Amino acid sequence: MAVLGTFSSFTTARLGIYASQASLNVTGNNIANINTAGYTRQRMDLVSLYPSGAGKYANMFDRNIGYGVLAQTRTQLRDPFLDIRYRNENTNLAANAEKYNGLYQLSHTLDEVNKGTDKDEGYGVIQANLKNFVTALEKLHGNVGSAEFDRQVRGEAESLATFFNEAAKALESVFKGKEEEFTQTLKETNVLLNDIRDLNEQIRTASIYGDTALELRDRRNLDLDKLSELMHINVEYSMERIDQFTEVEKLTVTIANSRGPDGKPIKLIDGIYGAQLSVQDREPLMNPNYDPVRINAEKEAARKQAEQDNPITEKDITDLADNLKADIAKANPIDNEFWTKRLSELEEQEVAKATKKALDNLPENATDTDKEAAIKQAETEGKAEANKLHQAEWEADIAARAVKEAKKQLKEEQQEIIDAAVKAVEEEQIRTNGKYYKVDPDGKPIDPPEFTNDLYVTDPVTGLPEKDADGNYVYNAATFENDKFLLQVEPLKDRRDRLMIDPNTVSKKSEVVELDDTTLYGKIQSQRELLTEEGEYASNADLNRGDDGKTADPPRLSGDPDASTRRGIPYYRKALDSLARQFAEEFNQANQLPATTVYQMNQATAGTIADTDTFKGTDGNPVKYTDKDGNLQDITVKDVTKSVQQQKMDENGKPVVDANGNPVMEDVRVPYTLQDVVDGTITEEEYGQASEMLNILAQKGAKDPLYEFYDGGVLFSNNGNTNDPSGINASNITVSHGWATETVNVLNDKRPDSYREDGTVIKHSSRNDNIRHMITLFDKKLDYSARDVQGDSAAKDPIFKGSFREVYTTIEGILGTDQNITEGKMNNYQIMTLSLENDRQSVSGVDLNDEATSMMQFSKSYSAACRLLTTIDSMLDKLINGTAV
Amino acid sequence: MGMRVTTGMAMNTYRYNLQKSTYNVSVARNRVLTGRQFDSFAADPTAAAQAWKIRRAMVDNANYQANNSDTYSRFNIGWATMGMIKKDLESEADAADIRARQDSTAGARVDLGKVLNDTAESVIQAMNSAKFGDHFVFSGDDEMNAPFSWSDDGKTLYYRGVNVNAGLIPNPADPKNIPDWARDADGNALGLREEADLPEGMPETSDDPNEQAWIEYYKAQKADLEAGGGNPPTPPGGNVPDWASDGNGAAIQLKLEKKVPEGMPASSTNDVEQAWIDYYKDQKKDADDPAYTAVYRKPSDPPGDAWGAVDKYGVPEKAKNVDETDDAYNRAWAAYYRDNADVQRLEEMSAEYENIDLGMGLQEDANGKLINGTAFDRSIPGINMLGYGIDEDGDPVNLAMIMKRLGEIYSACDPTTGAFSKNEEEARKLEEEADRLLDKYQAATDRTNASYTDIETKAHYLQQNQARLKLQGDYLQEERENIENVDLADAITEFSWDYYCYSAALKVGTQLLSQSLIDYMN
Repeated sequence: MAVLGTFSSFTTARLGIYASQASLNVTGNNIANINTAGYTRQRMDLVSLYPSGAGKYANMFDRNIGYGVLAQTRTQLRDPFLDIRYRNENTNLAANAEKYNGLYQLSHTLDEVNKGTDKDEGYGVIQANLKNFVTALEKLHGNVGSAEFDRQVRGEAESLATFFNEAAKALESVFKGKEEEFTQTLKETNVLLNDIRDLNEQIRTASIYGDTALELRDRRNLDLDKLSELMHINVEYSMERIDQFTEVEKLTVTIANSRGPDGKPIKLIDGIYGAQLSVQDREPLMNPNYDPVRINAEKEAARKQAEQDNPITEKDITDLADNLKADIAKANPIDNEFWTKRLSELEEQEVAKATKKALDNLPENATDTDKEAAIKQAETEGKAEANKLHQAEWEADIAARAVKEAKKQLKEEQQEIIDAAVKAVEEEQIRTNGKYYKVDPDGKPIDPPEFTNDLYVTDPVTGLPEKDADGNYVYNAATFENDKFLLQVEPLKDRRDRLMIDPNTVSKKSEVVELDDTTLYGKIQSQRELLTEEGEYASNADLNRGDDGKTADPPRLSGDPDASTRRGIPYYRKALDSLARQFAEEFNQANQLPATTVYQMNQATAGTIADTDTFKGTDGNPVKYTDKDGNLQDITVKDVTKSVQQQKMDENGKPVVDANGNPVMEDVRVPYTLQDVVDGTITEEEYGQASEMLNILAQKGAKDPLYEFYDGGVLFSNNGNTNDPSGINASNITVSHGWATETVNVLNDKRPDSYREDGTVIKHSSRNDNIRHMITLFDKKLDYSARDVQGDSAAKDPIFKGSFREVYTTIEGILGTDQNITEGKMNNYQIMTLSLENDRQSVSGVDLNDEATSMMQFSKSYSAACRLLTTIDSMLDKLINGTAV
Repeated sequence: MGMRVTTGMAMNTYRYNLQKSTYNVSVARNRVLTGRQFDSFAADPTAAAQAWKIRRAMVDNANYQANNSDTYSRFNIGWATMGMIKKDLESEADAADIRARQDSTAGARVDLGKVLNDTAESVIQAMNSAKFGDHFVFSGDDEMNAPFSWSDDGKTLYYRGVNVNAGLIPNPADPKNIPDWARDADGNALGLREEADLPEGMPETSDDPNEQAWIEYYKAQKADLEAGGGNPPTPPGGNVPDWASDGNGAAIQLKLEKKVPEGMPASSTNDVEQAWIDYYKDQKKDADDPAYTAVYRKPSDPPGDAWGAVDKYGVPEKAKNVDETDDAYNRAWAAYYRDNADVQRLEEMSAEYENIDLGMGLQEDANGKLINGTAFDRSIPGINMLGYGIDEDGDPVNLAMIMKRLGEIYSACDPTTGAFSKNEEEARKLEEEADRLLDKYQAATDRTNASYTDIETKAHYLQQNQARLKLQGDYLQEERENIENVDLADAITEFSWDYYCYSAALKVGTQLLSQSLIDYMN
């Protein structure tokens, strides 16, 4: 081997031609793919073919000469470290871009800078309407008593309420849009995961057959880049042993910074196995041991047992009947119509009987006088007998009735006991063997387990499951708020749906891994946060705390300790609700006097107002309302007012103090407020009912003469057809029915009128203190509690403090600042991503100058190899044909 | 060697920068077109927050200006009305002129009375006609109703239903309201007198010594009994005159008897006096008849708790139900309570306020009460302009009522002689009253003129306030413009620069893929 064979030189030339040709092809491929997304520049690796070892006949003059060149393999020019850095920044960029996009959409509604019509002069929409409302109030303040100014205030209020509704609707629409995007993003993620899994399999197969599968790798890298937008991932390459002699590369993708149940990062892709993301399973957890037949059997047994334990004896019947006789006798007196008639019948019957007998017993020679005497005697005897019989019959009837009534009463008592016993057993059976598991806020069965048959809260009237504002069923057992946005990683499966073997799990097969609220980062997480984050409205559960406020252990799936500073669409919706609610509440309260002040009452103790006192109607009777069962009930003081301790004021409105300077307190009655609902003083339903009662009082109540002018009441309600102010929020706030129909007007003043002793009225038609109070409300710094809107909020302190207009600006400001910061971050990440992409392009990108140089180079080498072939040919021609011949 | 620059890299970078350049041009163009520094809160949160704050202040300022303008108009109307009244009073009913006319041409008093009467009515008409829109300017806090009205007989003037002469009804408890006949030298109410009546038919003197002795005896006995009965005289020994005989031949023994005060009339149209009459009569009946128990209370003693709880004006419940069928005591006290309540009401109405927000920092305390000085009181109660109540002489304070009374006195004068009354005493009293009222009329006119000046002062304040608010508004507008609006020169320069950069970027773009080595290959 030491010396090339004569014709081996041809091989050298041929290999040179081949190598140049192959390199030129690679160059061509590079140029062709210059615009292909994800394409990585390739290179033909050439190696020199070199004979090794010494030939059998080698001598010291032999020189080893290479055999030429080999085009060994195609390789890619790629820097994996740059890929990691690029993908990290890409995740950051996508996370911020998605957040910015959401905030930007919110800003269309909430950011009022330079918004509104020309008429609004740059005051925006809601801000402009707040402005118009206060301006209308100012005008009414100066023109109290003129109906047109009152109507102007109402017109502005209607407009303001409408814009609140529209803003709420717009925010809801943004929410729904994001919800759809979220679903779409999940689909996109799952398609990508499947693609990567499939590419892994193809690359693996190719690798087994020795193919580098560079184009497939490019596609996979492109997919990984896309996946890095959706979530923060770690990509690892390792070697997988195929057999004793073969190893192929394996790609694993995990969620960055995650920790599965096995303590290791959560895998999305493991070689040829891939997972899918899905929304966490929130189907009701069924009790496998649920057996309605058994529950019924238990109930039946309880019924029998109770019946046995509570028998009705003859003595019970007799005793009770004896007790009942007097009352029954009183109800059925012997001299009533029936028994009087019966007495006549008996008399007729007995007199006839006695007469017949007397006449029969008379001797035949009896004179007419004897006959008459006998008839008279018979009449007396007959009547006496009839009376006796009558008394006996009546007593027997009373005794029979008493026994019947006693049996009925005892049976009812027994039935009540039996029903109670059966109900107790049924409840216990359902609690221990019911249909569904009761679950905690994370959807986990409570420990020790308890069960329920009613998965949903049912409407007491229709019996149908209740739905919330979003149309979802309200669960009885637990709150599933936001759970529909909690994700899980499905088990890893190959293309044929075969589960991956996983020695770390109990089942030894890959299992579902539930992701908690903070596992992900990237576009998906930003969408989740936009859809779920409530900022200061977050509950203890949202903040990963127990009900006691301490950190939950184990952590809650939906818990995030930073939840109170993350603000998504729900936060802004609730903030708008807070503003609308507070606005309505303040004006409703300002426009009302306690019913006990305005209306005349029927007082149990004159001069003292008691909870149970009722109100006088204009017809003199107590004013009534119809309760939910359809029964007429008196409206009581407690129904419409509550008692509070307040510092006593003198006639000039100055606080009264005692000799020691301590405030003198007094019990006063005030209307219920929405705060009372939040505090649990009354229920939402009772609050709504109270407003309806006030409505009835306004129509039927007799006013105190000094308050005849009173036309106050609820200005804003939750529905234009009612005066119900309960549960007011931005989406339902409206001018109340009363105000719209002018049965309620803006209350000018709360001070009573005065009457002269001769009954003439001293009018105060232009008093305006209450309107002045309403104007001051506009600039009053009010506290806004998150719990007013979100009952389970963990925030104890007010989340906003300021006037209505200031709070709206604050909400705008929070959004604007967040948007501004997010945009800044997004721009930074965009530059960094671009920079890293350029770095990657610098290594992996195709450059025309490079390729042109390669083209010239390989073209020349090709020509040279061809020239070599010609030279060798002429050389051999000389040798063969021209030498020694 | 530095970094390898590939075609893709150049394209990426170019795309990014071109997009950025486009964005910059767009922003700069919008600035020029809108004239605004920022078009969203997010663009400049700090400036946006500041701008909203200023805009809120601008809204408030605009409202204050509108309120101020309205209030100024009201005061202008009030001022014009009061000016007109002032002019009328000066031309038609000048106090000095009236005095001169009263004195110099006594026969013209009737005409003067008519002028005064007409002027009083025209003053009230003027007050009632002062309206701003449908709001009566002089109605205090009842602007939807006219402030003044006359009674059907035209003698009583009401301010929103309350007699402006309230305070005229005497307080029965006041010692000066005890009738003269029922008052002792110290001004206190007298008790029942105790007197012994001389025998009926007893002559003053007699020529018969025996009869004269009996006369003196009875006089002495009367004096002794009335002095306490400690020193009874001895009866004369002679025959008992017929007039001194008790019918059985014995001499009459005198005895003390209770008597009502001397001079007490049988009845009176004055409820207080009638109450005293009833009281004394009842006391006497009580004294005369042991079986009788007195029912009438002393008129100077207030009814107290027996009349039930009092209202905020001190009127007991019972006083609200007393009518003409009740006795004089009840009528007197009820009338007093009611009248006293009217006095308080007039005082209240005089102090009524109508606050308006003129940018003085409208604020309420923790109890919802307006903090003084943070709002402007725009009310101009008519009674403060014309006066109300009764002075210490019992004369009206109200300008129109003084004129009415003067008019009444002059109108009642004899058209020929000008005499105030045919009865000299009455004429003297009326003349005195007219003189007194003329002095008071002068004072009332001065007070009305002072009110006119007061309105003028307030109107002037409103003018100044309007100017202040306008200035504040201008400052706010300027500040808002500084924050929100661009300096056009800057904006255009910026736009030009951005557009230049954009054009340059486009130019670069055309050469980005221009040539490579390939273009030079053969």
